[in-house]
Amino acid sequence: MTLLSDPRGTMPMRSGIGEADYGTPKSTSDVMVSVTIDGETHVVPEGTSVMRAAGEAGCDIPKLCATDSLQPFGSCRMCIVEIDGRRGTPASCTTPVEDGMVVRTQTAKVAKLRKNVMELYISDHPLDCLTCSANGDCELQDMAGVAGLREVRYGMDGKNHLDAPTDASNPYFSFDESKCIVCNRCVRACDEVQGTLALTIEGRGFNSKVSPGGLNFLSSECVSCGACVQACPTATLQEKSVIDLGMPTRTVQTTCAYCGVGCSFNAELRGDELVRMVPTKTGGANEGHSCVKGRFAWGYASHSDRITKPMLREKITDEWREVTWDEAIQYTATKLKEIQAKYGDNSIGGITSSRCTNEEIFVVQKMIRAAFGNNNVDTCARVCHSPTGYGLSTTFGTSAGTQDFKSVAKTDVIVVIGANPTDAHPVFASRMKRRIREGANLIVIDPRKIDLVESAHIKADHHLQLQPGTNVAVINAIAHVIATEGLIDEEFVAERCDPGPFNRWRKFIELPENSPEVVEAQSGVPAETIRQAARLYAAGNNAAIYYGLGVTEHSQGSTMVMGMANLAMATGNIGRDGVGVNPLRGQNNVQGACDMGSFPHELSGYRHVSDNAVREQFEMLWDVKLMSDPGMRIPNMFDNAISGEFRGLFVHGEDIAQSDPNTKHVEHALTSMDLVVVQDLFLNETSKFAHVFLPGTSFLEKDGTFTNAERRINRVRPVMAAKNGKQEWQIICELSQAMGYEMHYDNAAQIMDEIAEITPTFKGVSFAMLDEVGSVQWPCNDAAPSGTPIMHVDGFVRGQGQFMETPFVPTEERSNRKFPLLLTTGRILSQYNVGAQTRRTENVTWHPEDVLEIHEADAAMRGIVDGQKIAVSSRIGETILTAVVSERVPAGVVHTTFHHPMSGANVITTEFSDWATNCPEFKVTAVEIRPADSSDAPTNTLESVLTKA
Amino acid sequence: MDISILTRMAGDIERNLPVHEETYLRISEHLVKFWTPKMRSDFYKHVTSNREDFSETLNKVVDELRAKANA
Repeated sequence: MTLLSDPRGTMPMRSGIGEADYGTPKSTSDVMVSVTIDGETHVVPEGTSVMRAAGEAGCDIPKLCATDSLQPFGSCRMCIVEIDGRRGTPASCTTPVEDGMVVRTQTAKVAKLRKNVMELYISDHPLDCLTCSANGDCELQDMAGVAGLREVRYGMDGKNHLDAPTDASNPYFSFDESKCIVCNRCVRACDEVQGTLALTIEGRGFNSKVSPGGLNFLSSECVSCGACVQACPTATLQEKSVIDLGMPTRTVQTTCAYCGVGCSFNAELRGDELVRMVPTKTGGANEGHSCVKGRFAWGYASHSDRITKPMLREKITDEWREVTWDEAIQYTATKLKEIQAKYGDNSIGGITSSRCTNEEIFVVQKMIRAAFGNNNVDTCARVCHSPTGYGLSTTFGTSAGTQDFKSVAKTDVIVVIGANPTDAHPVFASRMKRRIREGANLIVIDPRKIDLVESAHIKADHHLQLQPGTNVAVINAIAHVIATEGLIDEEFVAERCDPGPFNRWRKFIELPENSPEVVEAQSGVPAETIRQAARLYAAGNNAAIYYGLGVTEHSQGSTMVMGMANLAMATGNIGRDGVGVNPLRGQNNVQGACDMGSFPHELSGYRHVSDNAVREQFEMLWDVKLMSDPGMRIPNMFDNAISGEFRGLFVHGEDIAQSDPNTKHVEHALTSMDLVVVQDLFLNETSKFAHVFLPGTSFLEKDGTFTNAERRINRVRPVMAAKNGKQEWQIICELSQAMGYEMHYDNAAQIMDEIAEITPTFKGVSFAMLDEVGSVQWPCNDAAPSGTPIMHVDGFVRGQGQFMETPFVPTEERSNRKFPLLLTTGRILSQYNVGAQTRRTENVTWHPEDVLEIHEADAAMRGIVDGQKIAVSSRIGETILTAVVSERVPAGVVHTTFHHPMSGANVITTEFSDWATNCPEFKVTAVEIRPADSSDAPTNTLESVLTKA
Repeated sequence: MDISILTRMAGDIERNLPVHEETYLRISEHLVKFWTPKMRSDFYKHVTSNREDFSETLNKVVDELRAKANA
């Protein structure tokens, strides 16, 4: 593929290799108008700019300040045209086409003007094109050529910006002010695309310059999403990797492996070396946007910590020794079989990874069911979104969010519950913020004052700042108001929902115990605020709920999911654009891991193992007898390990010793087993307890698919050769074969073919299909060959929607005299999950350690000041963190993250879990805090772990 | 698995479901759907040996489990 050229070959482009840039956004109007451009007549949607109409007709108009991800600005004067009947030379970017309009893009008059404009630009621009980092990827350079500029009459000796400084403070990109043409694209990208509004134009006239507002980019509000870098038409904002390595020469389109948004990227390479990741405009999830993780934090894949050879050790106190793949596989298989021979078939099991591809996950669960001969397979969704599966399948009939991400653009009332999208799902947050800036109302239900509550041009209409653990009480109170104030959509309910459960729910929800006035005492949220929020949600035309782990990771997580589903059904906010109930999935492939049959009670497509007809299909296809009873969940595995019944565990790409609650308990379980096998990129916390380490592949080496939070199946393509020499599914197949169950595929596409063959919702999916259409949202089958962006349109998957009574049962984890504060845990923008990836990138610049946010009153009461080391203790354990005195948390609540193993946030979280799914209650732990002294040391060092082990 | 864990899990399920005449059926269905046979068996044995320590609902749950197993 030719670098940086429009596929039509007419004009160089900047925004990603091979992606055309039509200068202004596409019009969505259904009304068509006719325009004649340079003698040819074209029909375009009303509202299309002259620039875009010309570009789509293959007649590109020069431009500098225009790019089709931004609204037209009309400042550079390069895109001027002549229009019959109009005076002067209007800018084509800001001039919409009118029916019958006659446009001339190439006349002597506009050519002269364009050349003059370009001459002025170049008179204040360094003439170092040959050594410039953007050489070959510079729109200014290209436009100078298009304008036919041959000389600069003004010379270079006048007043200029050629000696302006370069800001290299950001670890990933630099800002070379001397090359800036003040086209405003970066400022507008930050405003319109990202929605952070960190950049501005400072000064006036000749002194105008782009400014990040603070001392430099690093100290500014900039979130390093890369939108400004992508928008910049020169080398002013440039990736440091491009400056260091040079321009890429080829591209591979793939999918980000961080959060559940699942952004599409072009991996741009020189030979086999990755130079940069550029978000693709055709990506269904992100449409050209990115965040600091996906755009820049991919260096971990080549980090020197990567383990690329298999390793063994007899005891966890032994040194690791490198072995051949054959020895590692044979050893593992032999040990697993020995354990089963001694302790029974159910004495081993495995955990699948939401960071891996659907194909890898499918073969891991297949290995466990077919080769291990049991259903002891679980996935890390157990500790995040398992209540989503339970709650949404019970009420709606399927375990998935109801909308596509685009749907939020049609939402009038956005409700964010227990989620922090600007940190955890930043690219979706940008969509959401755009809609809020357009006028949508916003309700935030969260103990913390997250950025969405109030930030640049964003202000929540209502912030229900509830006490941790009272979600269900508040959602019931909202429903109570809707039911008792006549706000139920009776027509929708009568038409779409099961009347028996609805009537029972209505009776329950109208009870006085669910009134806002009663709930105020439990939750701390003023009754009137609850009432206003309920009325806003019910009365809005389109109201949508978006939620995260602040909903699920509670002892009533499943109840809360059902409570939200009740609310959507009661108000008819389901089954169309702009509404719905939408889980924001934490890891990149949580949805896929659940879809692929990773839970111990379900085969792929959420079908219970006890369903004889379904099981028989699998048995016939796999030629093996399958168990009809559910296997162990992860906590069951741990508990059974401690009691001696569960002796061998295969951990695929997860770090349970860091991510799961009550670290001491997890470590006890791991040290109780005879064999722990870890397949991962790095020696993580869990590998400290492992006997076998099987090196895995990064997303840049994988071939397969991820499924994001909107059920979108995206291709993951290998950008570079696997550093361990094997795809992970191949390793699993070899282990399965060594255990006596033949499992063979020639490639990952064959695995997807098998998934499609046996999973009704995936029936139409194949690699060939995805390569052709880009991505598809399941269900994708005969009934929906192009996929299903929005679910439950004409009816619920289960037939009729089922209301469920949702009694509020407070957690037993309460603050008390000994532990008077409530700790809640979460994530931060720059880090991801246990940090195994992001800690091995420059993202540590922003978050080098986990900290504890504490309200100033709680800090002052304990003599704690900002930046002080503190000991945080719960009834489970104690850890050391740095205090950050913050207004984001209310008095009585503290917050931390779990991205760093040294701080070990889960040393203090408890054994309590969701009643239905055993999803841990990460969000509520009673703690006390004191200033740390010299005898307090980090609790999770290798030495301390091994001593305890 | 320590029986106290199973007892706590069953108690959590009972406590979080609305109280109705057929609640015991929902609980027993839940245990069949999500618990391993050994967990159910251990819980059954423990409850039937210590019936007075458990609620009427959980007693009915284990009776239902037995009925299902015999069906």
